[in-house]
Amino acid sequence: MSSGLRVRVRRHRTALILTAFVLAVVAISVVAGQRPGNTVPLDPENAGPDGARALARVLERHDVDVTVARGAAALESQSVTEGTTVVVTSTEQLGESTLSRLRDHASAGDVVLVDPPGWLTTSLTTPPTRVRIPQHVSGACADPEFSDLAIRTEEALAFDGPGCFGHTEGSLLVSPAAGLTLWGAGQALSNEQVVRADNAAVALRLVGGGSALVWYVPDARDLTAGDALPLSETLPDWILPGLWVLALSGLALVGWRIRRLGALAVEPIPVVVKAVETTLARGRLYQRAGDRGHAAVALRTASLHRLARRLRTGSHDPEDVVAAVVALTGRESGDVGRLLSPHSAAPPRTDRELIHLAGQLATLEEEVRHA
Amino acid sequence: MTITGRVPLLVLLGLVPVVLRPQASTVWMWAGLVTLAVLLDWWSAPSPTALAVTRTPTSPVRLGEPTSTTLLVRNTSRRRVDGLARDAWQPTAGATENRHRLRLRGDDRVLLTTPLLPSRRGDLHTLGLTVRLRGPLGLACRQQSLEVPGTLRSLPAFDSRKHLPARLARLRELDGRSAVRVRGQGTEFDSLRDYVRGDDVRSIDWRASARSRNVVVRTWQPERDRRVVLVVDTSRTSAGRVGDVPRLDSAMDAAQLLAALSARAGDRVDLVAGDRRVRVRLRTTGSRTPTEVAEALADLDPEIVEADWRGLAAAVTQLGRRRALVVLLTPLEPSAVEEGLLPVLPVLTRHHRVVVASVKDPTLGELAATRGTAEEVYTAAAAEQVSARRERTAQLLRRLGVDVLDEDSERLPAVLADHYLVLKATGRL
Repeated sequence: MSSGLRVRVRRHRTALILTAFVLAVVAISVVAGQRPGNTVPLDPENAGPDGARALARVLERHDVDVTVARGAAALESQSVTEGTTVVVTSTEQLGESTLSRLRDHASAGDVVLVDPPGWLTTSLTTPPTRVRIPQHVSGACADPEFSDLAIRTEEALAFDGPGCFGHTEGSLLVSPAAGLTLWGAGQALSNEQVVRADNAAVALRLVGGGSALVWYVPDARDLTAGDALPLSETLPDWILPGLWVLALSGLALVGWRIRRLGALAVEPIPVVVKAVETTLARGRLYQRAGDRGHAAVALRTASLHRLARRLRTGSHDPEDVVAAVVALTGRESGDVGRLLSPHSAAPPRTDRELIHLAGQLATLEEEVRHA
Repeated sequence: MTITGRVPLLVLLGLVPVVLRPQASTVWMWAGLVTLAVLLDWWSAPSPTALAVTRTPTSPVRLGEPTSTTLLVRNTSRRRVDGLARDAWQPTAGATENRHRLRLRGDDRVLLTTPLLPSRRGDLHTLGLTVRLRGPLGLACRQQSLEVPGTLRSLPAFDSRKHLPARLARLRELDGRSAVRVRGQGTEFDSLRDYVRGDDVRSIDWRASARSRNVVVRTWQPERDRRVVLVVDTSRTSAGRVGDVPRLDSAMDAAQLLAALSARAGDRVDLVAGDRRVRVRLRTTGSRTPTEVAEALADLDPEIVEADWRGLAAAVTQLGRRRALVVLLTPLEPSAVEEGLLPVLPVLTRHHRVVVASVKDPTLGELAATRGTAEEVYTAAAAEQVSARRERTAQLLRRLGVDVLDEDSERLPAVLADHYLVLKATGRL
C-alpha cells in the first residue's frame, strides 16, 4: 500500500513539485497583498502608513466636528454652512458631474481637493506636474496661515500660478476659485508623514480652519455616463503588470522554440548541368548574330542527310537526293533543288523567310515519309 | 542550455500574484523567481557526456530500398536520464523518424533504431547525435551534439535489372545450341552428338560419322573466360543531365547490367572509372561481380574536369594484355571525344574490341523538330548542327573499328547487353 503510494508520488513528482510551488507563491502573495481593514490611501479610517486616520483623530480632539461622507448621497445629506470645510481625498474617483454637484452643495463652505488628477481640473487650471521634493518646501506666500511653515514629503503635484509652497514647477497650494483650494502634497497628510517637519500644522490649518469638517470620500459609482474618465482610470490596476507578464511569457516562448535539436542537416550537392544547355546557347548566339545563312545551311544539310538515309541514295550529293525525292513525290525538281541544296541557294534575308524555309523542309520530309 | 515549454507557462502563472498585488515589482520578482528556478534546473540536469554511444554498421543498400541504423546508448552515470535524442543524417539518407525519447536509469542501456530510405547514390553520412537532457523540474535542458560517425553506402539504381532475365534466357539458348550460326575463330568445340533434323548440315562431323552408326554433329558452346573491361567516364561530359538523371547514372545502369550478364556468361569483368585521374580500378571475380561493381560505382560523382584518356587507357592496359571487350561508357561529345579519346583509341583497338556506349539526349531531336518561331528555328538549326557533329564523330569512331552505341538512357543498357550477346554469339569477343 505505502509502496504503491510511493510509486505514484514518484511518477507524478514533477507535477507535484510544480503544484506545490504555485500554491506556495499564491499563498505568499495573498498573505502579503492582504492587510486588515481599510487600505484606501488618505482614507480617514485607514490606519496604515498611507491612511489619514491620525489626521482625522487629531482634528476631532481639537473640537472639529469631523463627518465622513462616503458617496455623493451621503455628502448631500450633510448641510454645508459657512465655516464648514469639505475635504476630498480619493479625488481620482471624482468626475465632472460629481465635482460640480460637490461645488453646488458646498458653495457656502470651503472645498479642499487633495491631489486632484489633471483631467479633473482642466476647467480651473493647467494640469499639474508631478515633482520630487528634495528637502523642505516653505510656505513663503502672502497667506499668513502658511507663510512661516515648511512641509517635507517626497512627491507632490505642482500647480501653475501663484500660491503657497512655491516650487520651480509651480505651487503646491493654489486657490483657482473662491472657496476652492487645490492641495498637491497629499502624502504630507498620511499617517506616515504627518509628523514630519511642519506637516501636521499645515494639515490642521488646511482642513481644520472651520468649525466643522466634512470628509468626502467620492465613489466612482456616482458618476454619470457623461463623465469622460480616462481609460487608465477605468481599467483594473493589474492590467499593466499583467501585460508585462504576458510579454515575458512570449519572450520565454521564443526562448523555448529558438534552439534547434542540433544543427541543420546539410546536403553536399554534386555538380549537374542540363545536357542541352550548350545547344540552346548556340541557338541564341545564332539569333543574336542574325546568322540566317549558317542556320539555313544547318537545316538544309540535316534534311538532306536524313532524306539520303531514308531513300538510300548511297551518297549525300544534293543532285542524287533531289532526283530521288522528285521520283518519289512527283514535285518539281527545281523547287526541291532550291529547297535542299545547302550552298547553291540564296540564304534567307529575314527571320520570316528562315521560318518559312524550316517549315517547308519539315513538310518535304513529312511527304517523303508518307509517300 | 535550452528551456522547455513549461517555462512560458510558468511565467504566465505570474498573472495570479500580479492580480493579487498589482505592481511592477511583482512582475520582476516573479521573473526573477522563474529565472532562478530555470538556472537551478539547468545546473542539476545530467550532462549528455554521461552517455556512451556506439553505432552498429549498416550494410550497403540499393538506392530507394529501406534500411535502418541502430545506436546503442548506455548511461554510464548512476543518475536517471530523461530527454530527447536526434540522430541526424544528411537529408537524402531519408532518416525521417530520427527523434527518440531517452529514458534511462543509471547503468541502463537502450537501442535506438532510425529507419533510413536513401534517395541518392553514394556514401551518405551522419551529422552527429544531438542529445537534450532535462533537469529534475523539466524546466531547462542541457544539450550537446555527440560525434557518432556512420555511413550508409547507397548503391546506384539498377532499373535495367528487368532486362536481365530475357538476356540470360538468350544466353542459355546460345549455350545449348548445336552450332553457332557463324563458325568463327572464337567458338569452342564442346562435344559430339547425334544429328537431329533441323541441325545445320555444315556442322556434321564426317570423320566421326564414319566411325559411328549414325550421323554425328559437333556442338559448340559460346566462348567462356573472356574479359570484359568497363570504362566509366566521370569527367565533365558525364555531368550533363538528361531529363532528371545525370548521364553518369545512366551509364552506371548500363554497366551494371552488362557486368551481371557477362559474369553469368562466365566472363571476367574488370572496371575502370576516372576523369583526370583514375578513381576506380577493380578486378572482379565470379559470382560477386555485380555487387562489387555496384559498390565500386556507388560513391562516384562527376567532376568538372576533362577526361585524361591516356591515363584511363593505361589503366585498362595494366589490367592485362589479353584480348578483351573494352566498353567505354562516355557521352559522344564531339570536341571531348576528338581531342581526348581519338588519339589513344589505336592503342586500345590494336589489342581489344572497343565499344563506345553513349547516352543520347532525346531533347536534341525535339528541339530540331520544333520550328514555330524565329527563336525555335535558330535553336533547331543549332540542334541539327550538334546532331550532325555527333554523327560525324560516331562515323569517325566506326572507321577506327569501334562499335558506337548512341541511345536514350532507357534503351542504352538493353542495347549494350544485346550487342554483347551478338558479339559473343558470333565469337567476336
